[in-house]
Amino acid sequence: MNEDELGILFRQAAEKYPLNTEHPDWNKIVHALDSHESVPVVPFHFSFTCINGMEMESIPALFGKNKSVLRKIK
Amino acid sequence: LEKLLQIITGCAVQDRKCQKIFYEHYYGTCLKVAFRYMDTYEQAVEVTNDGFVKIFRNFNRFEIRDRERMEIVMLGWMRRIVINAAIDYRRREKNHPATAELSQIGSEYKDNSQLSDNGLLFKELICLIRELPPVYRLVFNLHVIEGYSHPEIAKMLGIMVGTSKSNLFKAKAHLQQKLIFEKTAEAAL
Repeated sequence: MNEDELGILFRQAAEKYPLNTEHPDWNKIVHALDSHESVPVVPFHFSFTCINGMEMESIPALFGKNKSVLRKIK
Repeated sequence: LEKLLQIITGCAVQDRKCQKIFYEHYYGTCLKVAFRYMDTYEQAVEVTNDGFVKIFRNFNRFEIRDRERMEIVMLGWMRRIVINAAIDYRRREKNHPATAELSQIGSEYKDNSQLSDNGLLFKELICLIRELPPVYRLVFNLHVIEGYSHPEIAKMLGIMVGTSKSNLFKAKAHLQQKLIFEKTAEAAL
């Protein structure tokens, strides 16, 4: 079997193998999310006028829309 | 499409109802990804759930640029998060090795009936991947199944590009050997 055939065979298996995917545990997810949200969260539309000495690249993507209001204080 | 958009919007504002629908709908897809990277079914479930928590916490970072391809792009994004959760798990495990043994073919599979063109069951092929040493398995999954390039894999795993290539070569050689062995054993029966 050549490399291409090997790849096709295993990609097909990865797509079609019959894993038991029943019984997702939603409560676990809620618990993890709730415990995370007890920590103060920065609102999505948070806008700030300046951040001391911070590089633009270090601003999380979450604040992408607010990048234009950033200015570096010298 | 409209329904999915509604659910995604709900998830972005942390609406629990939408999150639950989303989780239950995509749980299987993500579990199947995680299962190929982990040693046991239980670990795969844990990694999948870790992945979903990250997905929900970061949902407002997901941007919809093309409505038609929205689900494909979103699945790619989710897959990447689950894979990263699996890699993180492996890193933690490396520091605190567990004694978990590789699961045997058991209750984690739904049935035995699906045969590949090669004559082996799909689940047997997945078992061959999962029997690979962890470093070979990671690179094989990332390159052959997910389609990442060697530079991308090197960055994700913190290894050299050459190491990624070499691990892939060894993984393929391992699998070729096992496939020949399985076929020979089958023919002998």
